[in-house]
Amino acid sequence: MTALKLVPHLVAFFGMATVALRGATRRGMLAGAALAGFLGGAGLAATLTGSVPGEFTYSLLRALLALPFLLLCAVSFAALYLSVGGKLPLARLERVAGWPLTRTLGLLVASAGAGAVAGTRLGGALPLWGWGALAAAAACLALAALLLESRLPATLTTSRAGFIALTVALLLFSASWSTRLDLFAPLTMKVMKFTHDFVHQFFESMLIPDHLFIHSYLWGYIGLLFGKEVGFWGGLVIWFTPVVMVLLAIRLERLPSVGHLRQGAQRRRMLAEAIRARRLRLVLPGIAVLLLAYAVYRSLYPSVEYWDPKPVPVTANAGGEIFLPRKGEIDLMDGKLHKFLYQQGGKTARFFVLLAPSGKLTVDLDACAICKPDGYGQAEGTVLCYYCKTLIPLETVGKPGGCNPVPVEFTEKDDGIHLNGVTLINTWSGTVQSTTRTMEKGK
Amino acid sequence: MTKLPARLWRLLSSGALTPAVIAIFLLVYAAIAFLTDEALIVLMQLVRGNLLLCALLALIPVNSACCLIAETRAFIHRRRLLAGADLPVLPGLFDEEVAVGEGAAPAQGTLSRIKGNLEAEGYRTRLGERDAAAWRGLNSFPARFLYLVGVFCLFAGILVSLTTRTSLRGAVAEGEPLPGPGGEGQAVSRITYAKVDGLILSKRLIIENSDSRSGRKEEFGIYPPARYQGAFVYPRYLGVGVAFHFAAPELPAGFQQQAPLAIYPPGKAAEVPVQDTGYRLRFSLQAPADGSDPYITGKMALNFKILQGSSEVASGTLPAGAEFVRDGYRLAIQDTRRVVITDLIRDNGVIPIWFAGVIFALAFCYWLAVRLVSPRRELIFTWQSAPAVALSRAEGRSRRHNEQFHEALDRIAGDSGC
Repeated sequence: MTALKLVPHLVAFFGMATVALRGATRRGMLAGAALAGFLGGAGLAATLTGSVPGEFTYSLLRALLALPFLLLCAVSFAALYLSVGGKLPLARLERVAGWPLTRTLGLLVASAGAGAVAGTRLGGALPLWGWGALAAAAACLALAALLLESRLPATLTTSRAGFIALTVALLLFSASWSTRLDLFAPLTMKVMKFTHDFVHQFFESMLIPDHLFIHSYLWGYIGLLFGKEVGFWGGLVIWFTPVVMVLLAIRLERLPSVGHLRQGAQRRRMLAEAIRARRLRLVLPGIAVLLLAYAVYRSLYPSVEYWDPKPVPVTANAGGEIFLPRKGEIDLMDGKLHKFLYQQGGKTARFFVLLAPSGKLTVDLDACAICKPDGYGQAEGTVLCYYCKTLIPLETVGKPGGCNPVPVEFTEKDDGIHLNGVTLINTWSGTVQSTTRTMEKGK
Repeated sequence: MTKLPARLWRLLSSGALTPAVIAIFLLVYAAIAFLTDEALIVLMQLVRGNLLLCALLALIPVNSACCLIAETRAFIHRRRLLAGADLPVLPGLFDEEVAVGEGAAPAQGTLSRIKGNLEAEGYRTRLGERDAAAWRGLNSFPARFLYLVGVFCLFAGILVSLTTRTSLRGAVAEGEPLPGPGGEGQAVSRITYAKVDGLILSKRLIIENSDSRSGRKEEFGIYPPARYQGAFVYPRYLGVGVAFHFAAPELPAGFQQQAPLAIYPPGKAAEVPVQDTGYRLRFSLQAPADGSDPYITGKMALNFKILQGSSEVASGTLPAGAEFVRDGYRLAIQDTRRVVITDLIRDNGVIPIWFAGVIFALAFCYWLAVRLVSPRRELIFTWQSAPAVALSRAEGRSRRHNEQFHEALDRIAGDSGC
């Protein structure tokens, strides 16, 4: 089973090594660097995952995986800018990028990234023979990469931007197999949050009236900007833009000037050759697009199941106070997410109680401040927002912001939890109903 | 120009500067987004309080202004070249530059044939003594000019708004002075709220402000925002100002308070704590049975609950001017008034940003029309210096244009026997 889990990461490693070997001079050194990087990354990540509990390793790795994506953004922009005739002072950088050592270091780091993703899936429990098998498999793949690359047609080349695009796409493809390292879901959440904040700030800055004064049909259209679809499509745009820019940069490369040739046939032949070479350079970034598309698919349909209890109706006493005993029919201290439903004056609020890893109870709305209130499910170490598919580490549940469940004020006493019904309803109305365009009746 | 100013000018008028600055801000945003969920707010606060980031943002309007100057100069230069002026060909002015022969002009017959061919293709031509030019279509430069003006206005507006915006939130209540940024102003004579069937707005809200001495009357609506003492009046949400008197058995002296309560629309509840007594009064606006809006009609009845700790000691409904008395508890609603929670905002960046939006729309319309209908294409052959050069440029339909260019070059080469 563990071996099967590692297949996509080994495929990514193999792809990176093959691409990096294209057109390289010191091929053995490159293959060795790839192998060392992969094993080193896997070992380090497995050790960290085993020794540092919580979200730290995953957060660190996600941040490290985002860096090459940002690098790709910069490279793709520069490539596009140069191909449409712009000028950038990159001569020195080009020279450094051309050194064999730079390529070796680049491959070492990229392979270490792929290895680290694989390492988090292994955890700290892999026996020594398992590591030996992994090293043997990686070595075989490095050799296979050497062999395959030597058999590829010489005309199949790529630009430097294309090479980086494919390497980054392989890394993201590899990360998409782990729900906790997947970058697309957090990206869509960040886009949703950005759009939400941007629209809000735009309205405030431009002094545009609030929904109270605007036709509801029009507000419905504005509300589309707060939907999951905006996060998804915006995320897709950001996800694919760098690679599409690389493709465009290659496609828009200026054809050689043929004005000096005085024979039409000669001009046409020269242009045809340039166009053919340009098309071949599109192949590797094209593969990168496919890999990124698969990573999106993995992100949208992760193979994980969640604990999602039916909300239990609760009532408030005459003073408007809701009381939930610590241990009754429902054991609030069992570490599971417990959902409740409270109705008052035709309004409904859904909330949950959860024992955080810190040992303290937290009460939160079963909704966040930016998504439609589809609620949360619980998985190992996380809760998941059903609307935008963002994983929230249990350590951060109870803290406000982003896609975290909105915390509700409550008092924890020896007997249980006390919370104010009006506060609950107002919190639900104030923070949730602005994010939804449909009447919410609870789940 | 000495070396440093020339370098500075090259940097400031570079087309890569604005994208580079935006990329830096995106990077900062991405870094902040890893640390906090309120990335945009934090970034805005960072820019507000950091001179370096302000200067970085200011580079964008400066860059667009410099690009505007540089590109206008280049445009004029190219126009003059087309008109036959004896000027050097600056790098980057044309897409293609080809040396043709040693400087001798081709035979008049060749030029006439080229001229005829180009005119048949819809080009306008000019044949000079030592040069020839052909062109067709409309320049997209006006769109570029508008675009750069738009970028200037947009980012200058954002910069001004970020760094100088001040906002004062206050409750505007009928009969109370308007809380102005320069101190309290004249009394609000009336607040009118009504349904309208506008294209965008569904409600009309008018805050009337009158000066009894001079008889001057001002009205502040929803949109476009009116100005008061130099600040925009930006109504945010509605509430009800309630003046009440409460007494309890152990609180015979009573408790008097006026409070703007956020209890609109009907059903929304707000609580007022009675200081140091453990009592809380919970109010909400009663929804009239006829379905009317109490804020529009002004007939406001309040549902109330008197709470002591976690228990409810009394509840009921009271219109303005009525009193509730039971078991030693007494609650009198002395007055209810319409209240608008309003922001008074001084912001000189708003108008340039709106202006930028209009300019972008104009630029896009012009560019699209020109690009679809008749993009600019230009050819110049000049024998003013050795070697003679042929210059070509196309803003669209470049394949057909290049065919014309190459054909003309072939004819010239055939004529000179190259």
